[in-house]
Amino acid sequence: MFSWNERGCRKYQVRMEDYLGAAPEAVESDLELTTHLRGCSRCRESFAAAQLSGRLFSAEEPEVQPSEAFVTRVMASIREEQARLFAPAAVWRPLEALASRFALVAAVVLLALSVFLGEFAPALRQPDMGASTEIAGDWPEPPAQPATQDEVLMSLAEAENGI
Amino acid sequence: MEGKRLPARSRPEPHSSDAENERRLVRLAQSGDTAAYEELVRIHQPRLLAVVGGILRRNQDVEDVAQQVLVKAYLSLKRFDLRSAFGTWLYKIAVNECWDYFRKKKVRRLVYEADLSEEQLRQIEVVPAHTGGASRSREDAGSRALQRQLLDRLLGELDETDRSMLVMKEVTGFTVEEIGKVFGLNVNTVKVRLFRARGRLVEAYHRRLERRPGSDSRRS
Repeated sequence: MFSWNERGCRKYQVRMEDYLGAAPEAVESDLELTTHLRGCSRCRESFAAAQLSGRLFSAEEPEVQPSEAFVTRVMASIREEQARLFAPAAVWRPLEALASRFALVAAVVLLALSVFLGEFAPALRQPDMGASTEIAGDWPEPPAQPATQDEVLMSLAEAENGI
Repeated sequence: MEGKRLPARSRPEPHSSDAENERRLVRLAQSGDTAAYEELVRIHQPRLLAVVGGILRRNQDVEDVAQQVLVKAYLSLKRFDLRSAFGTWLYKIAVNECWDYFRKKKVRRLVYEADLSEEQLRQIEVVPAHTGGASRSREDAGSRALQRQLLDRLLGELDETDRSMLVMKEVTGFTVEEIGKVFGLNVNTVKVRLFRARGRLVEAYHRRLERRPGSDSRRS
């Protein structure tokens, strides 16, 4: 019912909206509109509907009594909001939020890193030559290897004598 | 067709001295004078509450939403460049705040899905022209309350813009020029939208009448 495809009807809709509060004579004096209404049943219907819509609003009571309590509440709310926004601590509030987020991210990264190291680090680690030196330091010094035949004989003799 | 329409509840255009006084108050408020803003709140309070109340339909949160609008306006007052009237800017914030309210609370459907009882609809028959009962409805406070309830439900079937425009025009008495400024539309577009919204409202009304068991066609 209310889908107007005809371009021509749009300009009459503007005029019908203007005439909603007017007397019937005013509408009748607009010959162009009256002629259109005679020939366009859709506009006729919609004009009648628009007039009925005014009556649907007739029970509305828009008058709102000014209330000093409301004004007081609004101003108190503004002061509260200002205090919250401009308090000295408020300067650091974004940083506080950022710090807590940073701490959370750091904790997650550390956890992930420790898991990674625990799982994969031994396989990736190169043999540590320095460690064998340290171990060797804990054990008794092995006997020096004989370099000559005399030294070999001497060492055999010492072994035989239980030195 | 009915020629005589109920008087539109319109507010006269502010005098230039009022407008100048308002601009002065806005400038003072922008420089941090809260007393000046308090005066602006006092000036716009009734109309703002009517707009928010009209869109939210007597919802219990009307004052809270209106308060939120005024706080938001104050906090962004420095960005207001005085190119439009303070009221236009304020009501734009109000309309957006009402829409946000519906989106956040998702109350619209919950509120309006519930239908009127048979008895209630029977009593509301005073509305259409063919019953000739408009004056009777005015005499009867109960019927008026029911009529408002019916209108709540009918408006609930319109989209946000249509609904806000109709309420601003019919309930709060905004002119089409003022509505155009709030919604950023030209006057003719506002008139066409209002006219079509009225059609949709009445269409919803007829659907409701036809849904009643045993009802015949009630269209005039």
